[in-house]
Formats: sequence, structure tokens, C-alpha cells
Amino acid sequence: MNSSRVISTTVILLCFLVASVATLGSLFFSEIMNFVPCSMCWYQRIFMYPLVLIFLINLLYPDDKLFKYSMPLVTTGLFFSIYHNLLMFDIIPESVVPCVSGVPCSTEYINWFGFVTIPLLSFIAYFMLFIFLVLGRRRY
Amino acid sequence: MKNKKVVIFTLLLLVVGFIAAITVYQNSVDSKNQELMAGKNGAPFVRNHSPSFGENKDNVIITEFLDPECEACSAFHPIIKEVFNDYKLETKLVIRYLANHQNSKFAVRLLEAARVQNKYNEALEIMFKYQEKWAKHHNTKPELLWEFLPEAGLDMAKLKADFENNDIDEMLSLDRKDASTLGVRGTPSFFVNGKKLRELSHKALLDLVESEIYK
Repeated sequence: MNSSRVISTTVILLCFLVASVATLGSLFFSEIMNFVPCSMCWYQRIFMYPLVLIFLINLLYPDDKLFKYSMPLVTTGLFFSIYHNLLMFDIIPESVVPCVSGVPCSTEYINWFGFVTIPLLSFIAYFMLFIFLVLGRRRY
Repeated sequence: MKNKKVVIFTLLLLVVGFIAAITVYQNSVDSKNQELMAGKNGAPFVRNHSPSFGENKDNVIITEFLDPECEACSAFHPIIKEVFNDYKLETKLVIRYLANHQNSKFAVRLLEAARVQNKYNEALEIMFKYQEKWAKHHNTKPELLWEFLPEAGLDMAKLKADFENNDIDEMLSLDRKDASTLGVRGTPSFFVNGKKLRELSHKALLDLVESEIYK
């Protein structure tokens, strides 16, 4: 293993898995199940999709800067997903949702076990990435 | 280099898993749709209000979600026409509407008025033939249809009267509801005995229709 590496390879592989599953999952919802993504979903996609490639490239060509360029994407996406979940739980009222076209951001497409919605899945993915990157860095 | 192997393996696993998930999901949708097709007179694929054609001797129902103002519908029209003409004894073609464009509703009302005179297909043909003229982007001129439609051999006075009297709101809203039940958002969309046509091509449509006829 590369000694200058700050985050361990295993953690990066985990991050890559989380980002990939989130990406493929969101594509499954929109392309296969035909759910129309709302604008909040698009913002979260924008910050999740590049992470797949960033983690992948770092796994193939390791360097010690991964934290620096993945964290801004993760925190921005995390911010959007927190906001989106607050909308879903009615903590922020619908009227301030910045949605103009098509689907309102509080549309509930799936509801597994009574509480698992797509925005919650997104939040879990971002939160896992955040934790992995922060803890993965210290542990080394 | 051990890392790279693990990474490539993971990548492959993700892709294979994704494709497997798609296959499983689509099969489950198809079997659910076939169950729907078998019960309640074929609803939500078939409704009594819908225009339908063909003898249906082999009990093969082709459902098309259509919008007269949609370019893809116009482009695909010769293909469905050809396939259906070959098998109009064996199958039934049911037309459902998804009025997604600005003047779709207007055009559908005209189509339904033409249906009263048994000139539905002729009118649809004319609408598609001149679609570029009356449905030009950002400059639609639906009123031009009145000038084009006599070419379909319609009694225009009667067409006008039927157009003014017909009320298609209920029909359109039920069609839209069924479309959303079936996950249909765009036109043209086809189902053959409840099986979704996943690729808009002559070969794919013909294969699907024949697989249902010679089952």
C-alpha cells in the first residue's frame, strides 16, 4: 500500500461502492421505473455522479489528495439531501420549495417499511460517504 | 496490482447486478401487466371508449398510446400500419390518447369526430402527413387541419358538427390515468397483450406481435 496515502484503500473502495449503488439506484428509479426526478433530486445527482469516477480513478491511480477533492462534493450533496429530507418530513413547508417544473419535491415515489423514501436513501448515501471520509482519514 | 483486480471485479459486479435488477424488475412488471390484461375486460389496456381495429381472431391485443401532434408517433406510424395490416385478422389494435402537446386535444377531438364517419385512419393519416405544417414548433397552426382534412374524404359539415358536440374530457382523463398506471409517459408507447414494446423499431414490434400470435 502507498505510504503517503491518507485514506485507506478499503475505505475508498467502500466509498466507491456507496457512490456507485447510489448512482445506479437513482438511474434505476428514473430510467427503469420511470419516476420523474424533481429538481432537488437533480442537484443531489449532480454531486453524486462524479464521485463514482473520482473514487474509481483514485483506486486505480492512488494519491493522497482524495479527501480534498471529494469532500466538497460530498458536503454539498449532503446539504441538499438534508434540505430535501426536511421537505419530506414537512419541517420546511412546501411553498418554499424551489421547484418550478414537473414534479413537486415532496412527491413520495417509494415508501419502504413506512419511512424509507428516495430522499432518505440519498441522505444515507451522502452521510455514509461523509463518515467514511472523515473517519477513514483519522484512522490511518 | 492486486488492488486493481479487486476494483475491476467490483466494477463488473456492479454492472452485472444492475443488469440483473433491470431484468428482474421488467419481468415482474410484464407478469403483473399480463395479469391485469387477463382480468376486467383487459383494463387498463383496453377501454370501451377507445377506437379499435382488427378482427382479433387470435386474441392478440395491441395497445398504442398516441398523440396526433407527436413527431415520434408520426415517424412510427408507417411501421405500426405495416405490421397491423399484415395481422389485422389475428389482432386488435386499440388506440389510447396521451394528449401531451399544445394542440393535441384539438386534434384528438377532430379524430373522434372523423371516427363517427368511419374515417378515423384516413384522418389520422392526413394529420401525420401535414404534421410539419400544422404542428410546427413555436408556431402551431391547428386551424390548418380544417383545410387538410377534406383530403381524407370527410363530410366536412358533419365533421364540424360532430367536433362541436363531442366531449372527450372523460376519455382523455381515463386514458391518462391508465397510462400512469402502466408507467407510460411518452408517445408512442405500445403494449402487446400487456407486454411492453421496449424498443421502437419495426423488427421489435413485429417480433413481439408474432411471438404473441404463434405462442
